[in-house]
Amino acid sequence: MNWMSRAVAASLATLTLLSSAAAVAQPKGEVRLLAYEGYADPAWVEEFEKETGIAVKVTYVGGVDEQIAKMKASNGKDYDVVTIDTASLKAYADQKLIAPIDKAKLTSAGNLLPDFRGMANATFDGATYGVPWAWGSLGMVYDKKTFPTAPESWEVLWDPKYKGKVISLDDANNAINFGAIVLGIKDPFHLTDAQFAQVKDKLIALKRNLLTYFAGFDEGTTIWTENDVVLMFSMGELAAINLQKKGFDVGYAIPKEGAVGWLDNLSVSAGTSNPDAAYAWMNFVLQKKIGADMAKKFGYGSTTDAPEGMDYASRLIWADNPEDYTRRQAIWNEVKAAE
Amino acid sequence: MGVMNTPLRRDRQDLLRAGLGHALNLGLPLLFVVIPILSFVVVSFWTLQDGQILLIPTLANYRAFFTEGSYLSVYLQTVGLSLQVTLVNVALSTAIALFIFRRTPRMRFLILMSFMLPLFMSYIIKVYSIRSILGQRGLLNEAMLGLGLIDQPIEALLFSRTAIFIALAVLYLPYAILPIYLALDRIPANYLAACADLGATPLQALRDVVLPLARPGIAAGAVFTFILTFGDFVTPQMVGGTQGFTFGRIVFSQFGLALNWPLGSALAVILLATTLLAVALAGLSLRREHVR
Repeated sequence: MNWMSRAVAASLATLTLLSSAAAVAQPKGEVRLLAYEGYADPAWVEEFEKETGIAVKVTYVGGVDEQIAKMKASNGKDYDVVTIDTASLKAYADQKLIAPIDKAKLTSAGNLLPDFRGMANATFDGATYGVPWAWGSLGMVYDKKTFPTAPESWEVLWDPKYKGKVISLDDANNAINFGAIVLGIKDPFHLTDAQFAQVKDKLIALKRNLLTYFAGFDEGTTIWTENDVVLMFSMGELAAINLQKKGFDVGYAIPKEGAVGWLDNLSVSAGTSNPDAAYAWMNFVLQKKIGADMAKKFGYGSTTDAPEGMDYASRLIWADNPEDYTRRQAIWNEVKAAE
Repeated sequence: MGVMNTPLRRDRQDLLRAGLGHALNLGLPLLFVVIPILSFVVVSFWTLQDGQILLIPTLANYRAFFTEGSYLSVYLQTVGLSLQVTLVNVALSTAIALFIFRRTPRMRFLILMSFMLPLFMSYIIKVYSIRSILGQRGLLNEAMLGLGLIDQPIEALLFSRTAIFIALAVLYLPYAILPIYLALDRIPANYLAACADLGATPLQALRDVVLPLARPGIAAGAVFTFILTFGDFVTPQMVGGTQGFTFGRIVFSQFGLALNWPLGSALAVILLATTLLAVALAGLSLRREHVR
């Protein structure tokens, strides 16, 4: 057999297997998910398929750009449920890629924690386009030996006492959000010229206190383990979880100034051919036990079950698209080039 | 086979084959090297307005390099850094190449291979290893603490300019050793015998015969090191801490969320022009040698 006929035979065999498996399950249709990693755990899929008889097909995406490209390619007809970050929701709604949530069909809405029940983050012109589902924050990781109680203010990162023991995230947009939040600027996503100048000075001052910048969860963790670091402006809860797994006694805190948070929502695709299956999946994953399982497995905050220690959702500022990415990058370059 | 290979047909076939060969020889580099480079030269003259790339020709991106922010000063700092690394690297590589050259032929191969071994490893893994060696809780500090040479970990080893130097020298040493060694290897043995016969001391032979003949290799090694160092946007960032911001990093940063492709392309053209200048200077220094 040459490779061609072998490939044909293999795909035929797969098809036969798939169709026989489908015949056994006797599906009431299919639900097609477009999701980020960790949002459709195999254990949940299996339970859902058994419970409802609806088959689940998951397509994973790595980022916001990839996701919107996939949705646009078919005007949403390829997917039934999409997970969308709060900052992008309006763009999806404006382009009619997602449909308003039919609250009568959302029987699990009562499971949402009070902070999320209003769905204010996903409501535009009276219509709600998403149900809050998973969240996290860009908080502070601190060494518990140096700080028996969590530092109250972000200003501790600027304290000369900890010079050379602080690391900070290298990300133009989030660094500028961070600087603005520490300065107490109300809307860190839309800065004026004067505010940009203030933020730049603040970040240059921070730079003088840093050991180094880092990019990504892994790099932050590695630098922490190989050097004498006690404070980090982190990429998220996972940074602390990773360090705790390696035996480091660290805590995670959202200081009084607040922090940027991200909140992903479950939305129904405007092109869905099976809305009932879409709502069945959403109602299924909005159960408290699924939320708790997600928090345990992936370190994401759940909107139905507050994980231990994650009691700060109300103090987060949900990430929005900034006024000008190009300008933010230019200013961040200035900060990094400063002496 | 029923086809007759008449001389005429064979001629035409040869011609066709030669034509195809030339088309491939010229076409592939054109397709995969020249056209991509030209495309970013073109983009460097476009306009960025309100986050949109417009096909309006402008010199603003090049003007920005000279007048705005710290592009020019970061560029000059990076040139300085690259020159220093090149100097250190070439001196080290020449010494190592000479060391290898003095061994027996079988030993030469073994030693050369051991210096080339790092090339078989991923670049990122090497940078991570260097970092775990130089860190405050790294191998070097732990070892020195264990031996009682120091009682406090040396903090300045990693995340400093020194670290950038060490890392870049380690990463790019093989690229300089190889051409210098190859140049030495081409020196006929009887030249050295003649030197000895004529009463030259080993040092004189080195200065007046070996090094001048190794010049093309040294120039090639210097150019390789300079180009690789100048364009590196990962190593300085990873080991240099807050000092690790280089020109390559600025170019890189224009292509993420900033989406400033025109400025990024203009800066990349400047980077390319700098490396071409380095190649030209090396070529020029060799040509002068020939004339003399």
